[in-house]
Amino acid sequence: MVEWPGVTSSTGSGEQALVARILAGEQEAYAQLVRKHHPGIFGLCAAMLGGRTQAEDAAQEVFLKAYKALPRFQGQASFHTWLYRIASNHCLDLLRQGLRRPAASWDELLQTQGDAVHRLLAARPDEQLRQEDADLVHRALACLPADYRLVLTLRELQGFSYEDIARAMDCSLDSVKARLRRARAELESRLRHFLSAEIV
Amino acid sequence: MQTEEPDDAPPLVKAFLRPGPEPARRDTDAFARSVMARVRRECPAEAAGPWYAAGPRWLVPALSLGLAAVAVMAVLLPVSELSATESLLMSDGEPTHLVPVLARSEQSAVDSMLAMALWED
Repeated sequence: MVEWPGVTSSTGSGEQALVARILAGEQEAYAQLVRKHHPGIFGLCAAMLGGRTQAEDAAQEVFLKAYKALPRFQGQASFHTWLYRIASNHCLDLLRQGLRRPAASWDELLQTQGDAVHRLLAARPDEQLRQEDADLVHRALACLPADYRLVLTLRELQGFSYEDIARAMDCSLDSVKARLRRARAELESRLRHFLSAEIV
Repeated sequence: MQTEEPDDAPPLVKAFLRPGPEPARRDTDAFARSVMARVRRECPAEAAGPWYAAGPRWLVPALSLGLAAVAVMAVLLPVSELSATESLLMSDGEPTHLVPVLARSEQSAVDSMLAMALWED
């Protein structure tokens, strides 16, 4: 986790204090929150929308929406969770509107990027992903149903706890667990199918 | 509160879904600059002006409250029904500083004449 000046890495009091300063009229303090959360929000948008170009625009919209909604931020959840809720809803809205429909299907992706998928699956678990591999993961996720990709992104890529996922997705803990189980099973089945087809 | 979390992702899913590299610091700075430019353009901060600039914000409710209070008092505490003459008689005929005040247009002509006569005495 990158440390930003003036913001504590634990998402508690440092961010609450920043929010209070912004609400008191210190608009420029918002830049610190943007810098801190840009990597995560950008990653979420890229995974949800299937690419970095769309993610850049979507992430900007998310931060703008959050700034406008800041007076309604109650402080009951952390700013971090609240922001991810806005981002999740924004991405789901875009997907519902069909503006960011992924062009490639799963089969198409594996046909063109089969070698890259093999390389990725064979890589050491602690190996840092390259940008093109990360793009491949995002494109693969974009082939899954929207709620599956959201729950997988929050859990597997962003490392959210189940409680935070429930808050970000505005659903119950049981629903998170059920969705996550189904999403993992779906992705695993697709990957197994790909691997078995390659072996045959 | 930490809830029991279900079993981990299958190894295949774990191997495939790994976080990518974080954006470079300069990319994040550029992103923050563009967001802040939009924030400044679309949500201009309210300038904190001198105290009198905020006048209308408190003046309107203050005046409204004042008017409402006057109206309530007028209803609950009606003006005394005493006429000017009665007031004069209650003062034992002594000319007082009230007389000019009492000699107002709404007094009847009789009241006015009586007041004048008493004043000349």
